[in-house]
Amino acid sequence: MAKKRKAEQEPARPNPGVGGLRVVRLGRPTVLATVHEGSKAWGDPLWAAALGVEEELSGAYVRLLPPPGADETAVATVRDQVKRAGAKATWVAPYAKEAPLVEEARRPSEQRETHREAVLAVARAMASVDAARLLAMVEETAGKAGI
Amino acid sequence: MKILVTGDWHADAKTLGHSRSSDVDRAVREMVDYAVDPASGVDVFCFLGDLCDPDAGSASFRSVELAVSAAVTLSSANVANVWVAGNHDVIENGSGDTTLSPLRPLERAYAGLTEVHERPRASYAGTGVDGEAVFIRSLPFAATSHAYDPREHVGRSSKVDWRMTASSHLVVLAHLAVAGVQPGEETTDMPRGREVLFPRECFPGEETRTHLFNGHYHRQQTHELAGHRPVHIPGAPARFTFGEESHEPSYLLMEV
Repeated sequence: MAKKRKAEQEPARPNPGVGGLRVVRLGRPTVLATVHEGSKAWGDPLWAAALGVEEELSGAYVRLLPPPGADETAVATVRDQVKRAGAKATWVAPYAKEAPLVEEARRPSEQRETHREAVLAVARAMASVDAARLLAMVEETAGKAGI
Repeated sequence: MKILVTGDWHADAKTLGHSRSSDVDRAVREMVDYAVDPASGVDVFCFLGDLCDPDAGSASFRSVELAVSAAVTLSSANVANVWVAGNHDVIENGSGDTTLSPLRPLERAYAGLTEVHERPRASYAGTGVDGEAVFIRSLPFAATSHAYDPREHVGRSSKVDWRMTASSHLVVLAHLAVAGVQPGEETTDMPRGREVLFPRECFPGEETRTHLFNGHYHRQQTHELAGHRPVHIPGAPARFTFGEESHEPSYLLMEV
């Protein structure tokens, strides 16, 4: 590392900045951008269409942060616009979607027969040599069982 | 003597699943082209660590190729180049090797020009514009198996070379954590290794001939602390995470 070439060969240069330090920006850094929750683009197609106009999105990596309950069509619109603006990649962050509206929470149930009625209906339907006796017996048993 | 300082190339980085190697390649080309341009007057090109992760598959090999190519170009143009290891570079297998180890043969091929600093080292860099000697001291991030205490290391001797005098310049190149610097997403989205503190207390403010540079942080900044020398951070050459949207990728030039 003892190459003293230029410092010795060339005349001393003035310090390039305070304390001799200079910050040099690199040219054309790739843009990383975020469409935040609060962006008007989520609710206004005109704002969505303006994405990429003010900020150079060509070759950019873009993160989309839709607000909770954002309309899926609006999200698709914003994403399409960002792609049209030349973004290299887009990513939609998970967001809380509005719960689907349940129009009929519970259908009114049909009138149901009681256990007793069901058991007696079965007894009546049975083929028996003494249907009356069978029915009486079932009624008595159902009564004892409390149904 | 003009020194170009860069670091945190992360040539294996991905954003949204896409490789960022072309962005890093372009930035490195810009820096190397500037350094080898005789009109620029750059004498030493310093890399402050984090070339790539060693376990990033083929991306690691590509990243190493980028560093080797840069070192060969710089050395061929007679521009000294110093490569300091960062926390992403270390290979934790007990060997102490890093992703910069493949540059070691260049130290022999370009003796006096290419230097690979995987452990703390010191070397003579040349002569400053004031005619005084300029020395370089590195404080790389080391593997756990080869860990050292930077404070103890620096405290052992502030004189890095027998030729060093009170009027000599000292350029410190490190890849450590600087107390007080607000960490960015490099510590959350791209974490690796442990935190080893920069021994700032070893460089009091009155030592105006000491110039401190540190990698690790991706946002270009100069961190000031009362009673201490400022720490210059070049930042990364590209924006890698969305937390870095507002960063202005840069490199530093210092005339000593």
